[in-house]
Amino acid sequence: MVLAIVGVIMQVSLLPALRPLGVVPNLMLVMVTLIGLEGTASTALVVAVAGGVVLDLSSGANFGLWIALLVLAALAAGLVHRAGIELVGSAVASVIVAVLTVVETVVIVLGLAGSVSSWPVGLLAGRLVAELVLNLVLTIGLQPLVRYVMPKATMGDIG
Amino acid sequence: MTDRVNFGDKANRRIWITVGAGMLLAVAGVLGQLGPLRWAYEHSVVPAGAGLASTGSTAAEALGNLGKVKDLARDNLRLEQENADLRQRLAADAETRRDNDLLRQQLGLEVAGAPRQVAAEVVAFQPDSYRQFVTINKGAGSGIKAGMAVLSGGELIGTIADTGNTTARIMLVTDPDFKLTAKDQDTGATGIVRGQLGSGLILDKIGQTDTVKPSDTVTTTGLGGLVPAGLLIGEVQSVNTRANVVFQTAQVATNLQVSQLRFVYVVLGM
Repeated sequence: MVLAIVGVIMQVSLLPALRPLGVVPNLMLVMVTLIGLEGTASTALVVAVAGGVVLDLSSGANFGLWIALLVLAALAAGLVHRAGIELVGSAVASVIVAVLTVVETVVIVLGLAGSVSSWPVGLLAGRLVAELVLNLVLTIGLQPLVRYVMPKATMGDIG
Repeated sequence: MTDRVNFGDKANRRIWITVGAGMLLAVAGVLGQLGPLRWAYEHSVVPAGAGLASTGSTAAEALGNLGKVKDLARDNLRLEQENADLRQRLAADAETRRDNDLLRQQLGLEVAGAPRQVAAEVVAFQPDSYRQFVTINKGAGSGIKAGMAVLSGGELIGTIADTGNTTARIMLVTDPDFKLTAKDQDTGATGIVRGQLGSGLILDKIGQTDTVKPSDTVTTTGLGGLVPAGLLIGEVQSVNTRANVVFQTAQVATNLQVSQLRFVYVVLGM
């Protein structure tokens, strides 16, 4: 829980201020996915809902987007657990994070369809690639930490 | 592959209750019914994030400055010349203002004063890369209302989108949903200044017969809303004029750098 609180505060303060590569990495998406894969889906869902509400309160538009995105990440991680897929490497977490990063971008950009007169496709693609790279680096970098901190889920409490 | 796991009803119930709670919170938020949660947010996340936001802004500024070191001597010379020019213009403007005030007094008109402002610190940023909002540590309790202008570095950086009691959210001029009537101060041509998705802002809806030139100054018109006239927005960078379109558009350059925003001034009124 401490990890989640630190994550959410960094997501609204330090990371948007630093903007590495000109984009804001999605630390909370990475954390929820990793908690769902390394711990239990229930824990990931609680973090997703609590973190999503805080991020939506910090956000000036699209209330509910963050709750929906993070809940999706937690459910996807839970489904992977239920399917019994091998979770030794970072591949599964990376795929979930990458897919949801694309989903997030598409939803935000489509939400602006009525306000935008011209679409800077190259710039949007560049930002998406930069965000994907940063999120995947965070996923690979944070996985050992989350694995160390989270109590390992047993067969009975994965859900 | 590991063994498949059998899940009990208890685990499923826990999951669906949490998902349901999330959906309820999202709906309540859309309907603006999250008062107690917003209060908790203002008194926990905002103070905790303020220090980190300021650290991040300082770090971003320092990193930005690293790349500029080699240009310091040239920039210094240019700024000294600009400073001398501005001091001269300021002296001339002061003389004009005195004459204006005197004439207004003689005509029985109200003498315009400096707008009342309240200083605030940026305590939270928009958590994604596309929308442009920041949260400040002053709100309705300090007299701030939605629609008021916000300045930083002498330029308009946005307007207040909504307020809590101790915080307010600013929609920055670079947000794609930002719209405000503006004018070319040098030629009087009016238009609507709009944020662009990732590429600064444009002055749109300029009449085909109006004149707009690169390096002209763009300011607010003061028409409607709570934004007073004459606030600096930016400088025209380029103009897009085509014979077969109804309006001209101009790209406007602003000095706003979101990651380096730290202190801002909300214009409360004249």
